[in-house]
Amino acid sequence: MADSNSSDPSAGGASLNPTAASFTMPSASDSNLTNGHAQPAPNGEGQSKVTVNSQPRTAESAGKATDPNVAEAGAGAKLTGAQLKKQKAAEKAARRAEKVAEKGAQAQVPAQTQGGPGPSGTKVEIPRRPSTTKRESDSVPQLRRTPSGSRTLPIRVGSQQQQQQQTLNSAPPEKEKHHEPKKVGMFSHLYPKEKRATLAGAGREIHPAVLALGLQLRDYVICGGNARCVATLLAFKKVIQTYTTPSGVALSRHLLTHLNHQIAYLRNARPLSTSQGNSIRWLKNLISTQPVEAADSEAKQSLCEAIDLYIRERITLADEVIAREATERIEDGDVILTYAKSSIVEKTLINAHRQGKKFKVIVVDSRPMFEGKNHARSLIRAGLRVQYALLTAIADIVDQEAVTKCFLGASAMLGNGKLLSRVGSAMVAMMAKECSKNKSRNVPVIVLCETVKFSAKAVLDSIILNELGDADALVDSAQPEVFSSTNLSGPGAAAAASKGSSKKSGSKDKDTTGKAGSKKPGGKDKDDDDPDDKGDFSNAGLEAWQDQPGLFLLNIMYDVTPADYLDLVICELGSLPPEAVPVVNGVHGDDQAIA
Amino acid sequence: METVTWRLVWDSILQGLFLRRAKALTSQTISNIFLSPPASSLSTPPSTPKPISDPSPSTDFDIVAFYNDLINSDATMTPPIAAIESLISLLANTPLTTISETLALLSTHSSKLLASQRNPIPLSAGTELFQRYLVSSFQQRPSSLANSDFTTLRHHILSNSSLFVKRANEARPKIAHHALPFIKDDSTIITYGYSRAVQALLTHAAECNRFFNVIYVLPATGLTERLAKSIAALSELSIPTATISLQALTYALASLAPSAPPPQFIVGATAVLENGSIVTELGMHQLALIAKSVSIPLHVAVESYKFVRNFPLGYGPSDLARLGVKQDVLRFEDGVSHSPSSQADISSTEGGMVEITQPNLISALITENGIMTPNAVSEELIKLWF
Repeated sequence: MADSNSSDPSAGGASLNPTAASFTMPSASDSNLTNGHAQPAPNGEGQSKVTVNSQPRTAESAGKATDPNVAEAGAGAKLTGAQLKKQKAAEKAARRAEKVAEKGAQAQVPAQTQGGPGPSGTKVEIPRRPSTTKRESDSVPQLRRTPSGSRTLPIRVGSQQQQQQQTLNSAPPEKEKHHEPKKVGMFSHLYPKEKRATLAGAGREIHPAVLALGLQLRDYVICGGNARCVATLLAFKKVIQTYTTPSGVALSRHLLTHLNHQIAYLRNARPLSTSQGNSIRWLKNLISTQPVEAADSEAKQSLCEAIDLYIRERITLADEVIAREATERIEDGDVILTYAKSSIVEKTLINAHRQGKKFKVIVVDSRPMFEGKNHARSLIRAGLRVQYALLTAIADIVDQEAVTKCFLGASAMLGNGKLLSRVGSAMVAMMAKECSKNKSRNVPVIVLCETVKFSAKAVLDSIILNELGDADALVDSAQPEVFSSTNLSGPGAAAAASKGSSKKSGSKDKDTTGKAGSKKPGGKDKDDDDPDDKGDFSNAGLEAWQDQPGLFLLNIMYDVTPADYLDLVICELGSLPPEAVPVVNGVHGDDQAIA
Repeated sequence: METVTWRLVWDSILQGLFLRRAKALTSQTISNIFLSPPASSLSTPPSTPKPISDPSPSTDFDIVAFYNDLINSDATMTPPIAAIESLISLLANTPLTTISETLALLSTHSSKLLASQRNPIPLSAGTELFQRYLVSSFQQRPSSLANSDFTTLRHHILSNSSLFVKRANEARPKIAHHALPFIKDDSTIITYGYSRAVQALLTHAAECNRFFNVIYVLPATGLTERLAKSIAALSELSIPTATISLQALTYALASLAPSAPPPQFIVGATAVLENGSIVTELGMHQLALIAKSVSIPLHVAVESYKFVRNFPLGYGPSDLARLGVKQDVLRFEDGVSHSPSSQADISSTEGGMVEITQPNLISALITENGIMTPNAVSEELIKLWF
């Protein structure tokens, strides 16, 4: 057991590549080393090796076989010419011995195969090695097996276990590779069907600007509904600028298909947001209605101008109007609750602060993205009074801090008046409403949302329309950095933050993540000691979630807030109740026109 | 304060226009509405249009006096309609040559009119609606006037404006017509205060030979002259009426015969806000809460021109202040410096006060456009405005 353990590091290190393991394996045991190195040698040596290897066994089996042979020989000597028969018997014995040796070798391999399911792996690897010895005689299959079997002979017991262990250690990762990543059943429709977009995987027709954008979207460098929408439109503007219509086709037809490739690439990088979807639909509609007889340059010019105007009217100007209208809702003495980060909420708060309104902001944040940190940072920079807390402390915050208003950003406003926003928003809205109701206060929940983000879709739950983030993001156990404003609640926020983080990790894992982190090296050793013991994965923390049966990690990006928890939606058309969203869709037209 | 609010309202109108301009307008004659010419606006960096700051053209027309005369002379005249009439006659009396001037004139005089009123909410519905109507009639003027000069355009608008008022006055008979199926024989209808729409509705139902009882719940102002008149009018149509105070309401509800068809509340409102809240005199909120707690439906009979594009977040003084109403119910006194205010004092001060009743207490709004839930108000407003 001990020696097998000592040989393990090499096996463990090589476990990623089973074929490589078999090559490095022999180096662990000296006797096999010669075999391993002799292996690529020419045929003659290989054959000699075979004979050398088979000799001890032939001697051993010959010991058993010779007894009847001798008896036979003795009996034969009585009947016929002794010499002749002896010669024959010798020949026979030699042949038999050879056969027995072969049988023995064959028998040993099955014995190993019965040891574990692994040898299928070794069998696979074997044919590769003798590729140099292919010109051997018709007994090649036997020869192939004998080396591997014989190689293990000298330290049979140990090596057998070793090999078994190797297969056990190497097989599971191999299986993981072949299997799909673990999926949470109810959300299986959200897992990406193809591999995420990469630079290498992109087609020739993908424009460099789109390539760059795709990677930025994929890695959340460009994040947030407005930023993504604007970036997409600007990238498409570049696509249009460098586009030339092939002869014999209309721009309105061919540019659309050309754009479709770009869109598919972007969608592959990250599912499109509602704002992106709406603006892309608008752009497509615009392109398809370009007059056929218009010159290429003119059409391109008008498209680019339209894109600029669209960005300006639907996003830049809209943001200003919304910020101005929302600023009017902020009064002196307000305590404003906000969640994660929204560009428009940030703009509103800073705008109100510049107008000299005296109010306090509570930024609620959560794992794993910690977008609220950025939000808090820019608010503090603008000179606001900010308190930062984690979502887990929301009940206490709403209760103790006398929150008067709640501002939320949006990813989309749905057709039935519900809000699709960063996961956790529903909780914030609900707590703001319910807690205030208990205290006979009224905390209005106000959504700031451009009409670009209005969607005609009606969704009842957070399952249908959602997006999955990287599940490994949940594993990260780093302690959140603690944020505090100048004069407010340094220790309070710190306590809340640490409380929040420990609570959250505790809910997922029996050990706190900190503990698991310190245990990690020890835990790994233990795993290697008793690979059969499945219970051992529990010590590895969330890091081993891929290997641990029954443990699934789900990192959803959005959730749906019911319209009951929302009071007001401020868009560039003015203040609306959430139920009026479909009306705006109908009025604004371009969302539903092609939907 | 109020000037500021109306500047902002006006600004938002322009904002709405500005956003729609790309698809809605051929910006030739309209261009002088905007400060920046459209050609340059394409290339300039994004900025919101500033509110019009040029002084409005001077006129000697006294819009406040005209409005007060109008209200006092005609009992059936509601504040929004009177405000619209005042604005129309203002336009008719002031010769102007550009659209920009006209809009500036309307905006300043609207603010002046609103500032003169203690409760400007119903008026604001009228002034906003008219301004909006004016802007859209500039946009969607008939093609025959597309290239004509402003004088003919102005004449066209003025003649259409009177049509606008006429249509608004047809609202109440339509409401009465829509409400008729709600009034069952032998049922009891409870109403609060005086409302022209409710009066028209009850009279119409009585004329259609429905038989029902009416309970008048008296507000703080008591039995006013016009309330007494309307009760007398119903009695002439042989409709039994009773008057009770708000304090007696729950006991009165318990006194209704259990076998009779279920009672209902039908009340009027001076304005409807964008989330479906109604603005009425004090006491309505209590009445609505009682109605809710005993599960009696509360219907509001209201003309759709009373819809105001303003979204309150609650029903407190801050929400009313946003609407331009400053009133103070709470006056804590320590009993040393002042003698406690007398009963008559309270009723006289609270008589003119208003309050907001929240939409979740309202079953339905009966308007000339049909029966709608409070949620549908914003829909109507968006249709009207965009």
